[in-house]
Amino acid sequence: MLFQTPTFFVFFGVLFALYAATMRHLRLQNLLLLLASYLFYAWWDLRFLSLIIVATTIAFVIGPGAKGERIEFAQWRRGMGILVPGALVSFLPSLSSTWPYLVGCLGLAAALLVFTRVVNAMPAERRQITTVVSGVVVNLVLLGVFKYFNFFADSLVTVANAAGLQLGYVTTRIVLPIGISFFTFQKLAYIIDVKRGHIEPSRDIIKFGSFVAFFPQLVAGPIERAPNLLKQFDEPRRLTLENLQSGAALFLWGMFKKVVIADNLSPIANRAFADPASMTSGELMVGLLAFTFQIFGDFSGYSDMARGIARILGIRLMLNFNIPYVSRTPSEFWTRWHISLSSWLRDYLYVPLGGNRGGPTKTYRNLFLTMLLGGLWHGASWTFVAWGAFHGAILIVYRALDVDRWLARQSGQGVSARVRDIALVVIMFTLTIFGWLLFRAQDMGAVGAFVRGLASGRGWTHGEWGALAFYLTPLLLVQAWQLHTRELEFFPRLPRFVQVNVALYLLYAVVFLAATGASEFIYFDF
Amino acid sequence: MRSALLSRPLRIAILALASVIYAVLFGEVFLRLFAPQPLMPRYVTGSAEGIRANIRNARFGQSTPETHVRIAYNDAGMRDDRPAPPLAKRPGECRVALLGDSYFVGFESNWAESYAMQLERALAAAGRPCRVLNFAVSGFGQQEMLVALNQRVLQYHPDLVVMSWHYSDPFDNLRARLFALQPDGNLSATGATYLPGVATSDKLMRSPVYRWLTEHSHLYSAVRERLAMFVKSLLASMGSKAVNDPDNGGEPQPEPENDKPSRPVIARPGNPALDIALVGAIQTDAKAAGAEFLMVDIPVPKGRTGGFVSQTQTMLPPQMLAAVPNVTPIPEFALAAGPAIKLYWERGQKHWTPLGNRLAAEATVRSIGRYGLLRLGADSDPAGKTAVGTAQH
Repeated sequence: MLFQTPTFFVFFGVLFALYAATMRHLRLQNLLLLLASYLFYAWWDLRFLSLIIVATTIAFVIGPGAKGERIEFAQWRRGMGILVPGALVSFLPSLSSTWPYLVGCLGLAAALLVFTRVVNAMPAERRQITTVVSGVVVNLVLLGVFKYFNFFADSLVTVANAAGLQLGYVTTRIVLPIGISFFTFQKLAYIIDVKRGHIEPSRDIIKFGSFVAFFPQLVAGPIERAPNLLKQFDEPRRLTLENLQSGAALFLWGMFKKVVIADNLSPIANRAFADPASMTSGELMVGLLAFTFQIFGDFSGYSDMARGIARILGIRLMLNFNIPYVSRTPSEFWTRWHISLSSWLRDYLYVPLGGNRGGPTKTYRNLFLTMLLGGLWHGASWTFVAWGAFHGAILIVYRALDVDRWLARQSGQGVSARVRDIALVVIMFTLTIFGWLLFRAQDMGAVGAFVRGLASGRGWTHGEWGALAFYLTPLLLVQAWQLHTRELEFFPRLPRFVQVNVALYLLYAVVFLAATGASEFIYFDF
Repeated sequence: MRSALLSRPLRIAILALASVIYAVLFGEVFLRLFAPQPLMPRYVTGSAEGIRANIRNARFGQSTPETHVRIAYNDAGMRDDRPAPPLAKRPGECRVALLGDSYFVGFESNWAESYAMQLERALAAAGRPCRVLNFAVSGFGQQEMLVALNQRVLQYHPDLVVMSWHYSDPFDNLRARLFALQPDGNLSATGATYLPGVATSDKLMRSPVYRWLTEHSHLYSAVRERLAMFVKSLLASMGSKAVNDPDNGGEPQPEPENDKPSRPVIARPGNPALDIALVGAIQTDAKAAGAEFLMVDIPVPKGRTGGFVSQTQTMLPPQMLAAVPNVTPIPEFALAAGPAIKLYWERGQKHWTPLGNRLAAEATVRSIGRYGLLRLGADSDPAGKTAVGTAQH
């Protein structure tokens, strides 16, 4: 169920009516959100509903253990409150072929019970460590199996064949469940936050399930943290006109970025990346720029729509994008692009690795490893690894040159500061689009063909420059306004008359300028 | 106090009305600036025969971001700037009747550049002057063409009936339900009328404001087009469900095998047996009235240089194509195609350009010669002697 489709509008309309009717009954409202979120997820594939329910149950049951507390039987029993019905709903319609998975779910319930008995017998400190390690490993194994099995199996076969060993080709293809990277990282953060004492373990499976599966951000983020989102299920939400207006404006702007900008730039980018060797420099440049703004429009559009929907329901999701293409340095870029992931990697990977506490060499190593894994998070492909490595490398170079600290010492005022900042933005933007080339290319051979084509300097005026300008102009105007007002939510700051006209422009644009056919979001694959 | 209570709702009503008017005007300006729409009024109404017909003596314009044309229907509802000829033919007079949809009507082309007029010129150039009578009506499928042939066309005693085959015809044939296929393969009349949307359209067309909107409002055109697409897709999905039901005489589509990854099953739309029977009936009825018959393929382009897909060859069985005189303009189109050549309009409703019309007409005349229709020799060369229209590049 895509946000921009009529099906979603019907779904959300019904949900909103029920939500408004249950404003005085928090638990009932949370249950409504949980069921709506599961319905939203099951719309893609009912069988995978069990996956998110299994993952939720594990994190919920072991939560107290991550704090070092005993895991009470009641905690396990509450967890079973969604595991058993969830597994039945997922597998009963196709029981003849899926009964082993149903049995597996029941086996998991038993295994969890045994696990609680075992860790309860341990001293508190050991219980905590055992629980946290088990929780992290289980989540990573689930992620690894579903997301990386095909990649490593293929790579193993390739390496073995190159070494003269004939390995039988691995024929098992595992389908990637939508949003698995997002909700896995969300649960990992919860377990670690409980261990760190940032949040109390949840003892309400409905609240916890709603936190993990909250439908606006379930399949493509933002990757929420329990201290922000889980707590919002503890308190009554308010439906206000202000939330409705600003949420709807955020949703509309996000939808514009997705269906008008990203979806219309997508074919331009696809043509350039399909056969770079046959393209002129101009066509390749247009294609690369088209992808640069396609991925921004697609992903930030989704995030805005998610935040808008949540806000209409009275729930605040974290900011995920902050005009990333005006970044002056790589470290600034990562505070503006996919903020929920980059802050996650910082808090749960870079800092535990030692951060910048062990001298320059270890800092560089930690930066590189963090970005490498950040690249791999996007998917099982060597191009993502190369993209992560590239970003790790430029972070190291900028760090070694101490650009960020130097900038912090410089004055931000005056013409020379403006010129300096513009020059730095241009350099960083150039690096960023090269990174997107690595990210989007089919393989490293295509990267080479693309670079050779760009460097040939043939036909710079070729390509769909006009279409690129047509779709980017509104985005650039809005971002200029956002920078000018230092306010990302540009809509409420506009004069009333301008608001009306901007809203009409966006509404007409999403209806009449939208690319034909609803297409999925790029980050659904991650 | 009472007047204050009344004035508030009135103020709200005025404000709401002004808002709606402003939003509509904004939409009109928006579309003109950012997404100009093809303005394609059709001027179609119902007729005594129970099928659609062009409104007699209608005069209107069609505009797209690429072209602007004037369209006139004559006193018999034919796309023709000349009056309809008398029903009786003069001795030795040759008449060719066109049955088809908007391609044959000549949408997005002026009359002189339409397929019908290009065909008339090409025939004259090939040494066989004929009057082309254009009975095409936008939206027609073979069900309506069969009725039109017997009720309208044959009374003009044509020497040749030229019928188009377009990819939308199977959908239209499925929806019309004027004829149904019997188990013995014959057609039986099952409905007296097929007038989709005509009652509403007739009511609306009485209003000069509405007629003005159809020719000038981009917003109206965009909304109408989207609603029509929505309704058509709904009907098509309902229709394909019906046709896949063997009880309805349809052929069940193959189910994907469970052990294979699911992929879209590309099924031919509509009911092939019904389409074949309808084409056969049109040919038979034409021949029975002494007219020859030729079917013209309306190919679907794959971009300017990506080639063309024949709709007759993809939708009709080879045995039938061997038995029914038919022509595709694809060879002529392929020869002319190039990055700077437009054979189909691209920003309107993708009808033939004047060049496309001319090439299709020349292909038709060559085919008439090849089949020996109209007593035209196989060595006739319509292109060599014609200087038709404005070759549009």
